[in-house]
Amino acid sequence: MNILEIKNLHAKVEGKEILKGLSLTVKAGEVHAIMGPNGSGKSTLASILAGRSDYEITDGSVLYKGSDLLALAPEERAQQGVFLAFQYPVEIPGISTTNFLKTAVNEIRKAKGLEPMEAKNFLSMMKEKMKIVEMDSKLTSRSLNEGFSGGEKKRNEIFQMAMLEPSLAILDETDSGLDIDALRIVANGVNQLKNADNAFIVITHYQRLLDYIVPDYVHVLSNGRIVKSGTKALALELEAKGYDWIKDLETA
Amino acid sequence: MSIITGSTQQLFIEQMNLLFHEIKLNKDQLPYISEEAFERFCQSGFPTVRNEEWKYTNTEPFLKRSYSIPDRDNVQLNNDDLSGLLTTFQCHRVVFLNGYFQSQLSVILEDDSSVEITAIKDCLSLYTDMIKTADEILPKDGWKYLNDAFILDGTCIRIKKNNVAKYPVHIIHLTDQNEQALFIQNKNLIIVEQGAQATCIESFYSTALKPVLSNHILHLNIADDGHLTWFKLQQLQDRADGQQTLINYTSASLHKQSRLNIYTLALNGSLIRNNLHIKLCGANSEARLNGFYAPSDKQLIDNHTLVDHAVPNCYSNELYKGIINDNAKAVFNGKILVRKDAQKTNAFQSNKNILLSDNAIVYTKPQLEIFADDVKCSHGATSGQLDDESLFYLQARGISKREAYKMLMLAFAEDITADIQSDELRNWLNRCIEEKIQ
Ligand SMILES: Nc1ncnc2c1ncn2[C@@H]1O[C@H](COP(=O)(O)OP(=O)(O)OP(=O)(O)O)[C@@H](O)[C@H]1O
Ligand SMILES: [Mg+2]
Repeated sequence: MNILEIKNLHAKVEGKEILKGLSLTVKAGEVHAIMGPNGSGKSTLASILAGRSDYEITDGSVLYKGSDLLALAPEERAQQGVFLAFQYPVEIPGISTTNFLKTAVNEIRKAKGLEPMEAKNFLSMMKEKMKIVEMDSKLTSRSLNEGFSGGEKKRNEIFQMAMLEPSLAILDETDSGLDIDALRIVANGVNQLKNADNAFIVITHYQRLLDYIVPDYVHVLSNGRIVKSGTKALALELEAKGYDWIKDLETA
Repeated sequence: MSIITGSTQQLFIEQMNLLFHEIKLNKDQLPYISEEAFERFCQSGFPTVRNEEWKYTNTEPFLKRSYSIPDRDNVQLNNDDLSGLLTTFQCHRVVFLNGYFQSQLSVILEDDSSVEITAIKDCLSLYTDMIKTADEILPKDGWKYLNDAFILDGTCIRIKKNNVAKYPVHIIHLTDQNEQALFIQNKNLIIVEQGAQATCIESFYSTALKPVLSNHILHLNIADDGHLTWFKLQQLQDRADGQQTLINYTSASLHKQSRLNIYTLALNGSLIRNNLHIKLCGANSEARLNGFYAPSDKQLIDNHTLVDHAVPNCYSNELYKGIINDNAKAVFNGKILVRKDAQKTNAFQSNKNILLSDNAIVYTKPQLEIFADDVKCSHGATSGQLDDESLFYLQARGISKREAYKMLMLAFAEDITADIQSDELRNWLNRCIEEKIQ
């Protein structure tokens, strides 16, 4: 089954074209890695999928589980199982992670016509998922991401992903700024959540992450398009050769 | 019938003149009347927008109608279910209905000998000097003179030396009237004696269908080592044509090592003007001023504060936050005065505003006047929209835009109540805030 089907996607921000005909199909059970130079449009793609409104879609289509994703509000996408682990998670003073997740879980349940989760069940679910990412329970009672270290913020993203159990998770450079241990923990989290019904898009600059999360496909995004796709071997090649040869491919 | 001409100012003074004559007929029933103060009112009139301190707050539209003094013997309650405004915890309760003390609605808990609650008329002569000093702290303008000319009633609360009040005291100013517009004045005096501690709540609440103009004064006096926590909760729902105007001047004198934490939550009112003037007159005293205002529709909420550092080694910290919606307007004017002798002063001030609509307006003006050289002072003011990034983050987790808005607004507002130690009290206030923000 196709979880995501992007066809010829063109997108502008402030009049400037960032995505220039991007196509990508992701099937259930797959892990796709997206690599590519800074500024090539990776976060733009992730943001568009999550529903950020700053972008103007000028052409192309995105189907999620067979229906138009772009027609949905960000919260509707999340309610239907789309999850973005932010490259730069936002700090929100005055809202605790626990309270935030309780609201999120219950809003998603409401959208599915379910009753709010019982407090007891919610807490045991929190506990269970916190274990997966080895997250300190002290963090969850603090204001959301406020004063969290870079690594703690990323771990919190994966924790949220574990809580919301999405069908399509997009991880935007979740590995940047993580030490080796944290990297392993985050990767373990992903591997534990992975199953035959969901899919992952992992945006990264480092092939190191892909030692832990083994992708089915590796794509290179350059100048707003996917210019090359391959297997994990492509990531190794990029690591060795850099992006210049790809840029050459693009103009060729 | 005479044809009414002249300016709002003239008409208002004339109207007050009539009321004052009427008042004098019943003067035995009132705590006091002062011809001298009334004369001063007539000379100065109410402050108009030409007065720098009232530049953005035009009271004129509210002063054009004719008001009556409420009838002491004929107060009936539209809705005798007061549960909406009562605390969820035990308090001494002092209720004023249309400006008059109501013994049957009030509750003085017997098992607390630390607090003495009396009618203001019985203690005016005891505290003449204290009231005089307090008067000096307030702005000398028409509203103050008018309150000095007469009041309908008031209370005096004394927290006895070295006592910790067992229960909070809840003063309720309730207005309720279906037939005519009312003009109401009260004066309350709170004395925290040496080493005493107390928490008080002052609620302003209206169920009136007709306009009410209230002009209240509160004096707080905290003796050496005394601690007072004061909450003002202004919930003057304006319904039908019942415009609710509140002028509320508060003075506080802080003596040595005393502490005042004051929270002003201005949630509803057609026009609210708060003047909170705090004088740190004893060394090592500390004042914390917290404020939250949330005008909506066409409401106007104006907070003027003055923190007067008169002696060395004192501390003040002020945080006021506002959420302004619809066509509403907010004014924040915070002045810190550090006098020449007040070395080693620490004085901080911050004002933050969220504008929810294109028509919402806030005027914010921090003022520092520093005459000492060894001080730490800071101030800052911001105003803007709710943060889009935060909104998107919440939405991206499945939270509807409406709910996300609410969460962010509550988080912004509840920063003000976050340091309240009593869970019950904090939750109760947060619920009041939440009701407004919905
Ligand atoms: N709101 C915006 N306004 C203007 N330009 C933008 C905006 N958002 C993104 N861009 C531009 O779009 C291009 C793609 O940015 P994007 O963040 O998608 O890159 P990226 O591939 O994620 O880069 P990195 O690897 O550095 O994270 C960049 O040139 C960026 O400056
Ligand atoms: Mg990026």
